[in-house]
Amino acid sequence: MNGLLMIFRTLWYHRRTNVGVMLGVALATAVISGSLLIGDSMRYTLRRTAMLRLGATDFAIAPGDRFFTNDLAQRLNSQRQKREDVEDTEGKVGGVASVIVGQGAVTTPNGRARANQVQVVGVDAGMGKFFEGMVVPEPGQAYVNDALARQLGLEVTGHGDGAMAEGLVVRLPRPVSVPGDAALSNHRDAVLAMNVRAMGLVTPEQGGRFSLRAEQSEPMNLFVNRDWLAKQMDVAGRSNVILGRGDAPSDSNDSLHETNGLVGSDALPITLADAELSLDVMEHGGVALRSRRVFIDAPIVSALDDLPGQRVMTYFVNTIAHDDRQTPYSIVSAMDGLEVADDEIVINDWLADDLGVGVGDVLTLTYYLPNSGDALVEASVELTVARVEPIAGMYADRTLTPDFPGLAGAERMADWDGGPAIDRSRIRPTDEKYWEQYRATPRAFIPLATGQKIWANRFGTATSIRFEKSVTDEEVLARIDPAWLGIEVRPVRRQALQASQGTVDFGQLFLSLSFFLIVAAMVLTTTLFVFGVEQRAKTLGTLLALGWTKGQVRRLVWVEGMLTAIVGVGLGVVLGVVYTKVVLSLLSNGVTGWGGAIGVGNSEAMGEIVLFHASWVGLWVGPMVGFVVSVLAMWLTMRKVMRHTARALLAGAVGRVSGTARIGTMPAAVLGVVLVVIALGLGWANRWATGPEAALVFFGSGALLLVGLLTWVYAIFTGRGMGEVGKVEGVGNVWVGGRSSKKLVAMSSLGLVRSNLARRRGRSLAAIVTLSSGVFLVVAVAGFELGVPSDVSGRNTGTGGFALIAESTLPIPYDINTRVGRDHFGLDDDEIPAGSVVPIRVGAGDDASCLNLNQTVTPRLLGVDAQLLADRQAFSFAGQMDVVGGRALTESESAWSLLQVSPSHLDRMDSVGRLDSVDHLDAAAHSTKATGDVLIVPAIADANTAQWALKIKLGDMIDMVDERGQPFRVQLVATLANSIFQGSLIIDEKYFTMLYPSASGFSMLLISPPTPPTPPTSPTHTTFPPASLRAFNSMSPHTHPASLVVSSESVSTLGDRSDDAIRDTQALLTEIMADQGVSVTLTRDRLASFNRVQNTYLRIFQALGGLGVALGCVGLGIVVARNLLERRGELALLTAVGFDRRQIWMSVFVEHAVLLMIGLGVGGVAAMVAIWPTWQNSSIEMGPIGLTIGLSALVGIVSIVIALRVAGAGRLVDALRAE
Amino acid sequence: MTVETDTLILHAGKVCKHFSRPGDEQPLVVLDQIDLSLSAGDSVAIVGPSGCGKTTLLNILGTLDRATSGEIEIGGRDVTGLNDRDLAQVRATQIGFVFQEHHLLPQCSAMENVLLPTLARGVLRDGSEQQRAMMLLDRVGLADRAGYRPDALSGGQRQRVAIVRALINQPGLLLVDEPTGALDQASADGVMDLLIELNRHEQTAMVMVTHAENQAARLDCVLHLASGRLVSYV
Repeated sequence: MNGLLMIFRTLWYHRRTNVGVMLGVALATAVISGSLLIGDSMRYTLRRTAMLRLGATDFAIAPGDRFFTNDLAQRLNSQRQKREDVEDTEGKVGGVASVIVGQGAVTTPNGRARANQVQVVGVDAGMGKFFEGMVVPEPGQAYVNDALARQLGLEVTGHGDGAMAEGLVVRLPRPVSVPGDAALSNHRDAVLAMNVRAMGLVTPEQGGRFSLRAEQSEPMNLFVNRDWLAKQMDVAGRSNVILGRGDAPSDSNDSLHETNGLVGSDALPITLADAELSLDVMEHGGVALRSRRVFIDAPIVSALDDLPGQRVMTYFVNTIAHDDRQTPYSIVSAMDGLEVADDEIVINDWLADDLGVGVGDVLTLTYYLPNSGDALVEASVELTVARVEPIAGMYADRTLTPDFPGLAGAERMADWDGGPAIDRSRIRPTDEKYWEQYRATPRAFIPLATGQKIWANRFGTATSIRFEKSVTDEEVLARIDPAWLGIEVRPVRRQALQASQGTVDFGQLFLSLSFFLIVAAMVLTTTLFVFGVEQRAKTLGTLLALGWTKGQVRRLVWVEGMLTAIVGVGLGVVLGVVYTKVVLSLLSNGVTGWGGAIGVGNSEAMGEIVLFHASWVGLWVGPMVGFVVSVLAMWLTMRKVMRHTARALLAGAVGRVSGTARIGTMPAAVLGVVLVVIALGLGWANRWATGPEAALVFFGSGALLLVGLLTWVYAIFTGRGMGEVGKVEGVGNVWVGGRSSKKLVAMSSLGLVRSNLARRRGRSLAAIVTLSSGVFLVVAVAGFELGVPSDVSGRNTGTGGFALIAESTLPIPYDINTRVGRDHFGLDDDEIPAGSVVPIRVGAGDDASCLNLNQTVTPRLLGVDAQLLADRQAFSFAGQMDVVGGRALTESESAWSLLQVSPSHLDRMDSVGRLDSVDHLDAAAHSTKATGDVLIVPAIADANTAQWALKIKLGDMIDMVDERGQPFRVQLVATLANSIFQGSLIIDEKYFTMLYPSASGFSMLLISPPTPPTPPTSPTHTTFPPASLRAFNSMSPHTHPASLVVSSESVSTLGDRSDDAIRDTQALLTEIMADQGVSVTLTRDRLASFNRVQNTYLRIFQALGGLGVALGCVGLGIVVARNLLERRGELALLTAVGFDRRQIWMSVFVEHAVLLMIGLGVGGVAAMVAIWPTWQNSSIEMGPIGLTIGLSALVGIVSIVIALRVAGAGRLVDALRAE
Repeated sequence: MTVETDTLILHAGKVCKHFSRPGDEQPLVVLDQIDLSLSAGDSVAIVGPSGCGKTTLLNILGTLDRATSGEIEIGGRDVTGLNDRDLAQVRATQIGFVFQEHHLLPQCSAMENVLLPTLARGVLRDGSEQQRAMMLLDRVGLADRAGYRPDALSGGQRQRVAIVRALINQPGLLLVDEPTGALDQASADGVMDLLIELNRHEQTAMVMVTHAENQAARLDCVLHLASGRLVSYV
């Protein structure tokens, strides 16, 4: 005999109780471990996805739509090899590859299937360094990844060459020299269509999931031959993405080595060609710096200020007129050194003859505003002729004119193709003669200051810079920061790993969601342990009487408990793994509904998309927590039990009756009434409220009602009518019996039940509190379910009153509110009325919505004309800053107006603090550059996106970098309540185009519900936009021509719309914008997809909480068994005095069923109050709630019955004999 | 009433015990000025009506309960102010308990139950305790039942195991509470014979609480406890 043997003997002897304790510990451990392992698995999956999409890529250079030479990659590699400290004996480090990446749309030739948002990747053999087994397609061939093959329904007969041989049509935006938003841009050839033949599949390991975007969803990728693609895109020898491997192995933490020693744009060996610049020798000596993109970016022009040269801004003028004589379509150059006043002009003799003018005459120049895009807004300026020069020397220099799209290379003016919109009927023979003889030689010259004032734009401030003396490439390059062109190194692997940490810690999330289940398991464990210890009270007393110290007794029980806990924990780990796999399976499966939590749709089964992974931390922390919590529960129990004297333990007095009530009956009753009244009052006062705040108030009132009702129950249980407790020194609490204040309670079955309930008041109340709290939590969270408005036209809803949201793969070059846009798409006025669409510019960046599980590194920016949304009073705001930039909104102003405030540059705003011109914005930007300040841009985001994905609050700022590599900050000035704008930061379009000047066109459209047929008797029409809109819109790149006449209905509340009409509009848009790869979605579907995430979390909480309540009911069964075992003697006595067995068991059953019903009832009633508003809206599915309560009641009753059968087995008379 | 002897194993002086009950103005006096002294080999029976405080007195003498006032010395050591740990040591080394219920651990064999008090002292390093246990079990006629669990023993056998357990540490004082209350007459007589024999043989002072006058009469002296006081001495 030794202590250990005794422990094992005891463990075995009390095995039933110990198994119960063990299972409780196992369950708690399983849930805790499982939750952490779910977190591990999510992180692992995200990390694996990140690694799959990057392959061996450590860093990347991706300047978007700018194409550098393929040689840049080789220069980077040479630069690395020259470094002496590189050790690459195995050839596993280093290496670069140039690829072309573009977003396009792919269709089958017969139009049977279509895939938008396809990433078209032009690859060469260099890609093989990053993805083992990457196949380089032959010219005209393509390989697709799984996602694209699925979308297009391509039949796959195997992997590799010839696995499929289907023709596909690929549409890509064609690289343009002039951004689409420029008036001189060429929209005609904006889209490049190519025929390719799909040859096979590219597996994820081969690079099938290649993407530089931090999103877990599998991109649709189409791989083609890079050089072939470049040729198709007219950018032969160029590419727009460089992938690089670092100097150190990929798992190195050396941030410098992981990017090949490159940081940002420092030390990048670019050439002028990479910057799409060239130094051309001029006809009349010197050299000129010119850009392939027509306009030279403003930062470059500024940076070259210190080199003596002549800046030239050449532009296309529609008309030069004097009196009634006009010369159409002339090239005019603005330049330094003309030695004329700002309001004067120099013309060549041909123009002077054509207009019949001479020195002193005033000419009117009419031109398109450079930023007016497809709106083609004309402006004019009057200038006085200062000189007339012959077409010779610098006045005959054709190189003054950049290669305007559509003009360069044309043999005749009539052959001009694309570019500026012209009326060919205006072209005269004399114009053709001039073209034939002088081509695009400028006809007039104006001072540079004047030219930059009227023609400066966001795309550039000069078309060439001419240097008298020879200037070398190096001199120019030394002054250019490649970051201005977007050429800078991004440590994409580090960013990806950071992003893969996830927005949400799923481990913590599932711990929270499983909270009630864990608590229930621990309560069950503690209850069983307590019962086990109480059962052994006499044994413990005996040991004390035999000379064991309390410490020895405590250690004995503790060691037993710990051994039980250790086994339970071990079992829990195994169960945890099973639990994790089950949950992951449910999460990966769209059919179960749980997939909504990670963005898996409802209809499709995605298979095992979340991979199981267990880290050591996940495997250890759960068991450790489970063990510690179990041991803590045991320690508390032992502490309580060992307070008793050996004598009391020997007498078996432990846990027989509850202690004296700490709060009196009357105070408890009064408190209960007060709480119930407050709760009901709160609910009543708030009865018609809606929205998240209302849900919160009702949840609060429900919780208050729960506490009030429980206080009432407490008061009833402590009432004298229920009996009372006396304390006898040395013995402890003794039950005195039920009596009223004046007389003994009449004996009855009900009285017996009531008396018994109160006798173990603590146990009874604990059961009620546990059950009611569980039911309340499980049911009440349904109140936070997010619904989708049935009427999408409600402008203060999450849809903003818009019925449809269209997202395009290729930018939509035209604003379809404008006449030009409508003509381009062939829209009639009754089809999608002008003014019913809000076009939005979409920047690069990560989706920060709840559908992207990755941490957002760079949130996506949306540029929207805020005034359009402000005037519609669209969307509902969750919060807004009171004062932005020192200006508070007036009562009538929408929070959207905050987007037009410049917090850092109020002095440059107009009288109401709004931006009034692009010039001001540029001035602001330049000012910040000069002073070293960072430009602050106001932004609005969805409240959920701000809180969960971006983790920012009102007033907080996010550091970002613009297209030219300049840092700026986005300040959150307002948040939207549960909107379709989840995942993005919204800034005003003016800021957007300033920060991303080359980003042209719109990639998102919000479309109002279709207008119902307007009765002919009420033709209320007005010009669009209304006057209130015009002030701000006057400078909008997609300014609405005043001549555009639309129905006022389109900007007013639109009322009920039929779904059919909305579907028609959806189909129409999809059809007319097929070239742009437009996907049109119902806004309520979009909102529902976002809501599904939160709702799924709530349902998971309900499901796990429901399990917790069921477990609580099992605990009730244990309480019943324990009560019964304790009272076997009493029950035997009842048998002896003539009660039959059925009566006795019924009495005991009723007693505990009452506990069950009180628990479920109190929790249920309080929960119903809590979910009242949502319930009223009928958006709650009552089925699962009813199922939870019903199942709990059923499990409870079954537990009671089982407990009665188990504890009541055998002859009661034996118990009497034992007494 | 006081018993005076030469070698004092137990000395209780002016021991009082009061209980308070809610609602009662005056505390209930259970023991009032009890004086009692025992030497080695003495045996005392305490008799009295139910509720007179016999078991309370026994618990106080056995350090399972504390007196409201008065002093108690066991083996010449004042145990009145000792902490729980020291009291446990006193019980482990100097006191043996026999209860009305045997309080044997159901999961342990008779031998293991007997050895339980030695575990408290941690003296199981050699086999001497097991030898002593077997010797004692043999003396009470249960050597062949040493490996049996309590549920395999009769009531009398269980009580005999409990008595052996009380003697395993060779205590100077044996406190016995209604040892035959749950036994039939034959078993009760056997247990009484055993206790008296052990008392004589081991020279263990014994205090026994009993209702049975005939059993009490077999001990050296009989104390009557009434209204909290020892009112007669035989």
